[in-house]
Amino acid sequence: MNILEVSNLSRSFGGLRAVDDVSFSVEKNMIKAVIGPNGAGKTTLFNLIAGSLKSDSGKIRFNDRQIGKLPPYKIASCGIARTFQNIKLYSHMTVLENVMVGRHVRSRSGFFSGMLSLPSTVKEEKAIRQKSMELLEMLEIGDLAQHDATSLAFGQQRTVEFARALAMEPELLLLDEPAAGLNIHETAGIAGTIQRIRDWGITILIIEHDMSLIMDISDEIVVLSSGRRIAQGTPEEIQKNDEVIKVYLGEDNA
Amino acid sequence: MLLALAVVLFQALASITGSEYVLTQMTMSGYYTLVIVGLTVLMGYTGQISIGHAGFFAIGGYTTAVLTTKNLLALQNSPLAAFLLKWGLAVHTTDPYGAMIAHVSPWVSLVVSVLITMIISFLIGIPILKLKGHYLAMATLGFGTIIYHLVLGSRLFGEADGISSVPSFVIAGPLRITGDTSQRIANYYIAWFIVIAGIVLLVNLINSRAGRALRAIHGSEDAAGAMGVNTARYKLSIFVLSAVFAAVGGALLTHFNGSIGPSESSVVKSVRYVAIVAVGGMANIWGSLTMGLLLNFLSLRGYLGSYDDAFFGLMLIVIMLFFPDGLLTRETLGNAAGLIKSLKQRLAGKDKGVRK
Repeated sequence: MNILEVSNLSRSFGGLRAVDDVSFSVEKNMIKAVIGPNGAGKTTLFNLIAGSLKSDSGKIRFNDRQIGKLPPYKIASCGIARTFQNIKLYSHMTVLENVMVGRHVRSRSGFFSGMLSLPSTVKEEKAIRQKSMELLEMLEIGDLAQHDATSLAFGQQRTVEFARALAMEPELLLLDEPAAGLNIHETAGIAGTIQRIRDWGITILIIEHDMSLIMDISDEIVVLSSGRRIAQGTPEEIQKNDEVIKVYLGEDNA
Repeated sequence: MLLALAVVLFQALASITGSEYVLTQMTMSGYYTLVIVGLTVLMGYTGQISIGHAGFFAIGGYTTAVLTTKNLLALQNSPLAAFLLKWGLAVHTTDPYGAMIAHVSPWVSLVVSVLITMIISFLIGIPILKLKGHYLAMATLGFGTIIYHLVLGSRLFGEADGISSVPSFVIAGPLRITGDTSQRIANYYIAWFIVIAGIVLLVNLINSRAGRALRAIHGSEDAAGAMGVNTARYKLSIFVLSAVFAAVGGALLTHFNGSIGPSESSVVKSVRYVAIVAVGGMANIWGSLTMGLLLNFLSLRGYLGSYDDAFFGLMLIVIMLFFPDGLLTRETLGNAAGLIKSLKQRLAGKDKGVRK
């Protein structure tokens, strides 16, 4: 069953067609990757799916619901979580608090119940804290819970972003270059984490430059170049695809 | 709890030393502090600046002043006045010449003040909270300027004279908000009870789901949206809430002083509030409380002389230059502690050197 269907999606910036008539679908519980050279339109595609950009034309369906026109917070409450290429953790908040924000869509206390600290709110707050702490421990950063999130090492911050996204209990997780800026050791760790997240029943759509990581973990790959989809298939098929080799290595090597 | 204790201790100290007159300024300072703690949650925790909160303070103060200084007995022909009199929403009293008059109950005017403030801040907030950083600052500045000139220019609000003879606010039985010196100690407690209640509400809020969402907006608005936080709605809610805090402060202080003038709505006042929030450590409600209390008290006692407004301007410049994260933050306090420690060590080191 397809959890996400992108059809004929386009978006231009001035004269530049950043995403040009792109279609693909993501099956439930698979790891699907989007690759392509710099400027291929990968991040634009992600921002379109997550709602922080609006498309010029085309459709995005999530679980048989049109989400193309929804604002980001509504898309999040539909069950799509994301991480950012340039990590966006909340400054002046602890690691635990950052993850607790991820429980926002799974809890409901509002302004007034918060101000009055009603019993139901206190109870909910306790559950939020407990669930967030569990997640930190599952990702093996439980000992960092009380640290200021933005003071951590880069790799640790990335793990916190993962924990925050997972706190939403999403059905689909969008990962924007999760290995960017990480060393080989940390990248291997991230690969393991991504596979574990899939084993928890979460579908993953990932953008990545690190080819070995992509070839190792993904079930299917979409290749973008200059905003257009030029290939789609399993890692083996993509490695043999002439067009892909041409885009990545240049005309002569084809 | 600690705060309540401090409030009681201060009163005891003032009474023992025979300087109870300072309680008057402490009471006034309390009402200003209400504005400041509300603004702290908006600015420090949510990251949305407002240089227009004196405007909301004035809306609260002027609304109650206008409503409670109209003699309803003279307006008995109007259905509204008749309705208020009939349902006990008016207070009967005598004017300074001994004639019978009746005015709108301050409870009613307080509720009306809050409602008007909510409506205005809601309507203003929808368009301007789409702006960020200094664009938002300028828009709120514009709002403050409009309120100032409305107040200064219209007869209803007494033009440059403001409105005086605002009656006292009878809360229940003998408890009333009034500047009458015989009620000084009671009024000091009324004001600080309200301030403490306000702070408890805000601290609860900050530590709740909604408060986390607000702080997340400050940290990264994009990421807050991606986690399902309706950022526009949350920003608007906290804007309205902080405006209500300002309006309540304004309304109660007006009853305490018995009057309100246009200077309360001036941009200079708004800048002062911003400066106090900044010096208190921005995202630090206890810091703003301390600084709000201290600086308003000093200013009201006249220690800053005629350079009062200049002082707050200068303070804002110094804070922005040297402590952009505020003065009373964990870091600066930690640094100060570290500095003292290293000084001590240095002194100790010098001693040793001498001994050698």
